[in-house]
Amino acid sequence: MLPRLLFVVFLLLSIGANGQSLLSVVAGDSNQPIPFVPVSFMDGTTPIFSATTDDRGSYTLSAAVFEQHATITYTAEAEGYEPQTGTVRNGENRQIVLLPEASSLDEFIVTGQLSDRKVDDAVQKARVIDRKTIDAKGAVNLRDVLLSELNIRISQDQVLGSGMSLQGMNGQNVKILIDGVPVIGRVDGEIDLSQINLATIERIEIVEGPSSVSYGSNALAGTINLITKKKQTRSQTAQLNSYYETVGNYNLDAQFSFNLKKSQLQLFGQRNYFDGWINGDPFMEFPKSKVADSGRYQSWKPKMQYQAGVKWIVPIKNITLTPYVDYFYEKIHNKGLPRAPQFNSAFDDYYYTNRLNQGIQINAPLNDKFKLQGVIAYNYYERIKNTYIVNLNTLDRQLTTTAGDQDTTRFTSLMSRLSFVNNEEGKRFRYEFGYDVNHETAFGQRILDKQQAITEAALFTNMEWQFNKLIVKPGLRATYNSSYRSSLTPALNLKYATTKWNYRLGIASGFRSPSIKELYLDFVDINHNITGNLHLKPEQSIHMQGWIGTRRMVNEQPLSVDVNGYYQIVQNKITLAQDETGVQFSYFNLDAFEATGMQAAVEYRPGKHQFRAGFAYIGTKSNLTIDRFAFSPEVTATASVFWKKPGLIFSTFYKYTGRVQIYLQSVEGDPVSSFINDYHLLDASVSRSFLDKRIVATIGGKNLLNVRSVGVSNNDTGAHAGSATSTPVNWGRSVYVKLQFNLKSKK
Amino acid sequence: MKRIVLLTAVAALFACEKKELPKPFTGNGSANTISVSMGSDYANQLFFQLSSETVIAQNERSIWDLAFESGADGREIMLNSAKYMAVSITNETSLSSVNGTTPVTWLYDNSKGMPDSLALHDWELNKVYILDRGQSTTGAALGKIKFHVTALTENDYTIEWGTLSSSTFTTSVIAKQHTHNASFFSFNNGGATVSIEPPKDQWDLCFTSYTYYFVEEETPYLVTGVLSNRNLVRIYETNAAFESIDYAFASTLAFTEDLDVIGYDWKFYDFGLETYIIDSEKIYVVRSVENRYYKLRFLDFYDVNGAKGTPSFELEEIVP
Repeated sequence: MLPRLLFVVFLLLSIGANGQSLLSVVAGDSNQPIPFVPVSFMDGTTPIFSATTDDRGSYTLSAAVFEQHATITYTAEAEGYEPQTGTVRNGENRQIVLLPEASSLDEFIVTGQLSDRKVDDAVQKARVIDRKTIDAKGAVNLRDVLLSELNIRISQDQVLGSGMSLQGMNGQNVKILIDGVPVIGRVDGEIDLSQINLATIERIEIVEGPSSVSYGSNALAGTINLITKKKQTRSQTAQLNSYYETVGNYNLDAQFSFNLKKSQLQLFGQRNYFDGWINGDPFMEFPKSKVADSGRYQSWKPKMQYQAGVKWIVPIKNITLTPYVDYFYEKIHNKGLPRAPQFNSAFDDYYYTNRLNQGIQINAPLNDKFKLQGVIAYNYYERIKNTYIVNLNTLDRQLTTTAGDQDTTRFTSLMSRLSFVNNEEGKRFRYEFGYDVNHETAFGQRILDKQQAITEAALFTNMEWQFNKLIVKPGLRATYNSSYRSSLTPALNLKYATTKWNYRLGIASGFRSPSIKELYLDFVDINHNITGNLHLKPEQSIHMQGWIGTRRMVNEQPLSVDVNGYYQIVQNKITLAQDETGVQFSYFNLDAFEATGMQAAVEYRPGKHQFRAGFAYIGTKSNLTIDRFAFSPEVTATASVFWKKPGLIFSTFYKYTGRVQIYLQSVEGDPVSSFINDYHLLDASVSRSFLDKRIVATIGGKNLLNVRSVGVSNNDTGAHAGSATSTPVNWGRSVYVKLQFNLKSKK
Repeated sequence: MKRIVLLTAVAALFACEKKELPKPFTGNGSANTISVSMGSDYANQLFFQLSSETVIAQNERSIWDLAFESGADGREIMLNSAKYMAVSITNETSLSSVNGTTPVTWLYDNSKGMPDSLALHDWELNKVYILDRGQSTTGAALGKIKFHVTALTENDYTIEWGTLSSSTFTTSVIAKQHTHNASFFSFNNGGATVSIEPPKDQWDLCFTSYTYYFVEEETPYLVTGVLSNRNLVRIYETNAAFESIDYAFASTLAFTEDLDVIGYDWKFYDFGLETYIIDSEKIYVVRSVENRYYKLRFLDFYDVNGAKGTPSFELEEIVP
């Protein structure tokens, strides 16, 4: 009898005949109640009060509240979940289902997609590095974040900066984009990754294999697309990040966003200073004046970077236009060694880089079926080198007069890509077609007539057919290039997915158009005679890859395993070689290059923890490797552990880079083999947020195994045997502290 | 909170490059330092006299092609290796039957300068030789010439020559200047002798570019350094301490006749630092044309403005 009576009472209470409302908060992914969730209540936009749910995720609004407010708007916000807003009237009960934050469960990508896609649903396999990972790595720029990524290797040139290779192919075959706009400034083919700061980047999408159909030249080995932060949901936000690393990094950035009527303005400024490093530097030392003796030379050059940007997100009806401007300045000071035998003077180099990127992003949904998306952008890159001779006794300095000591290189690119997308929900057949135009100029002392330009214009189309579990995605690009005329680039990707298994197959063509330098180089002096070749054809590649993946629950927690194999052959590789006269050097479509390999990745996410491990085996073959592949292994491991009670997140990143066999051409033209030794990199960090995420503090250690350089050895037993040198990998072991301050207004 | 924000902001903005402190002068301030400038593209050949410590003659290095030995019984013909000249030997004796279509093997003079190591040491009367005139100071190719010697006497050489493809030829007579090591001839301006070297008993060292044959790499390469006067000047390279070298030491040295003992390798190019570095361990003892002894050590390859091509060196006469 008693239970029944209680039931009736409960029923009466819950119907709220006498007024009162029950709110219960549950997690959308597990259907479990979330305890202690802060909920704020408003009457329209006027705040009334805030409260917290109980240990079963419930909160009861008393009838008294409804006497003053007929309808109450609530907002529930739990860490790791998207905030949820709704309204409730007296006597109504609400179950508030909180969906996990997009980045914490489902990662989205846009690179090469018809529209935003979950990574798992995309036909082409892609990798996403989200903001959390960027932060946990303590990464300031693209170099830092890629250093521990699988299948990617970073190389360091102390003057040109950080380059990379992906799937065994070097950086001139990797397209780097920011919101779909190519980053320019390929001095010697590579983009300096340490000039790409990540403060405004929300996530990094990496697609391995060619994306030439959508992105054109250079996207042979893969595409790295950096996606900037989107429109903030709050009307006003401010964020300040400060970063100090004992090796001598002092960084500060500030970001603001606020709404102007319906539009949103985002402002950003950054200053990074690095005081240089050489083996033997003290663990921690603040900048101070030093005597200009042999201690002035540093292998990692001191540098100062400033960056500032504005982005304005303007909705006009249902079209969103986003004009943006971004300016970057870098000054590198290469302090020379005092010159023997008297050590009273030194040559100092300064390298100044200016980048100005500006453009408009266009996103126009025409109706439920069609949309237009694209961008128009103008990018400017300038690099100035100045060499001074410095009198170390007086510190007077003077520009030197030797030819080539003072140099300016300039690149500009005017590009536009616009595609018309049919993206109707639930349709079997979807497609896009569009154009991609790029007008590039280069200016430099060693370019014929000092300045040259090339124009590339292309039409491309991508289609997706869904046949039950099978998706077929063909693509085609027709390119016109002002130097080599035309080329066709096809691609075909397939995906077959069951609930637990997914299979992907891709065969794609990629290309790299000859660069302005390769076409128009004019470098003739007493010791050089190198000229460009106007008759170069683009490098063409065929890339094949397959993926097998599985998604399943282990102890009710998601586990994923992915295995991949690939093979790529690049024909007409542009190579510097002697011409038939034997006097001149020029560029020719000479060699072939092949890359093959496999990778495997396992990821397990029990609760808020995350564990990842990867293995890759990368093989490359060129005409110098004497008909066999040179293989090199890689291992990565990442752990992110959430310790609930003190609210700490521990992260570690480990990467083993195997020994690499490299093949070079000797002076006599014979193949010479050499190797770069293997090494291990280990980083770790712990972070905690305070005051409701208003302060996030991170302390971390970088390069804990203290790997600074690795040996490069020459196997040649002939005339040049025994020359052993090393190549820089990283600066010494260091510790960093990062503080993030967040100020957010109410909605 | 505001205070923490401000503090970290200031701390991060505070860091910047600090001014260096000057370093006191180091080096041998009392040494006799001499600088000679060849130009940053090594355009000039400088003829240096040790006794007066001055450059007594200089010329642009590409203004001559061949040097003809001037002694009464002299017969050696030397290439201007300062502009990377080479010669190819044909089997023809008629200029018109050589037109350059046959494959050629290029030979270079050995920088040691010994007569038997010259490319044209075994030249024969009337035999046709093809010359690659090398390159100008800006790197432009100067073209090819075919020539043969049609007569040799105590007083002159007679040559007949033309450009490689031509069928009309010029005859030039080169008089032997007996006071000089050689008479210098240029194919420019219809062919003429030019005044290059001072009289053979007046100069000791020539600062110049020259072609050095890298044996290991099997590549001839244009280097920049010092060659000596083949008439009487002898040089010895040592690692002995500069201060310790005295007359007793110098007068017993086994000097060689090689012209390139000083050569180019008192400096080397550091690809990492992208500059030339002086090897100051290398000391040169020179016996001059006047039979006096000097010691020499290089200090620099750059002038005060940082332009290369200006060797500076310490020079001291070694007296008994």
